[in-house]
Amino acid sequence: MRKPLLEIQEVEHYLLEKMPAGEQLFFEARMLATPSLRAAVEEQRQAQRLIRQAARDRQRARLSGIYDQLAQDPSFAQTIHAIFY
Amino acid sequence: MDLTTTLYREAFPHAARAIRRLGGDLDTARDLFHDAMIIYLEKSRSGHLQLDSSPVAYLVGITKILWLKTKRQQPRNETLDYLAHFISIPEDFYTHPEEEPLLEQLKAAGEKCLQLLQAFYYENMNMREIAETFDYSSPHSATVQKYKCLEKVRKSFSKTPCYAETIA
Repeated sequence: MRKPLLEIQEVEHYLLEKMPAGEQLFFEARMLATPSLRAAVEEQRQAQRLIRQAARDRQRARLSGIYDQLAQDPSFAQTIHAIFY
Repeated sequence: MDLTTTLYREAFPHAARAIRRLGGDLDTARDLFHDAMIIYLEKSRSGHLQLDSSPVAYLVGITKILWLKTKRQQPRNETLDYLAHFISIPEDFYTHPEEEPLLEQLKAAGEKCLQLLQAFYYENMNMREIAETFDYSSPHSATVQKYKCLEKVRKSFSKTPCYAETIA
């Protein structure tokens, strides 16, 4: 793998807590001494968080589709209508 | 009808009635119920779901807690108070408004990349399952592709004007 990809792999192992304890301590010491590595870790943490957010948005769209599908069923639609109107 | 649709059909009228009684409308009930379903499905998938009651009661409980959170109110009865303590809503469940442009940037990074990254980081699939699902020749080639996608996403983020302010 190219060097930038190896760095991404290393950061991922750190963020997912897949590093052995000794390696983790060494990595954290490098982070303290290297601002660019610290920034890379924060960037990747944010990317992972936003990937989960995008997945939740996809789930919301899927659930809206399920609602639309159920709303075609007169008995479901009538139940919901009776609750709100 | 799949399991999610069956559960939706059974639970939503109960959740909707609860939100109506609290003063909410249909759109609010639907949005909160969808978030409750997402929390339920995530916890089921990760094995962190400990149910003392039926899935329907759990979903209605989370929907009410999410309503109280939007209104910044405390639970008013013991059952709900217990549930609120027991059900933790994931810390990163909602997107910070200042990160919205990055989320849009991520969605524009390419459908295949996004699906691969979500399979690993959201659905917790392992690389063997991902290689099979996405037609890669081996788990190793799927892993390399995953890192290339992450690299692409990080590069696209760094070009977004608001990026610097969103980094912790």
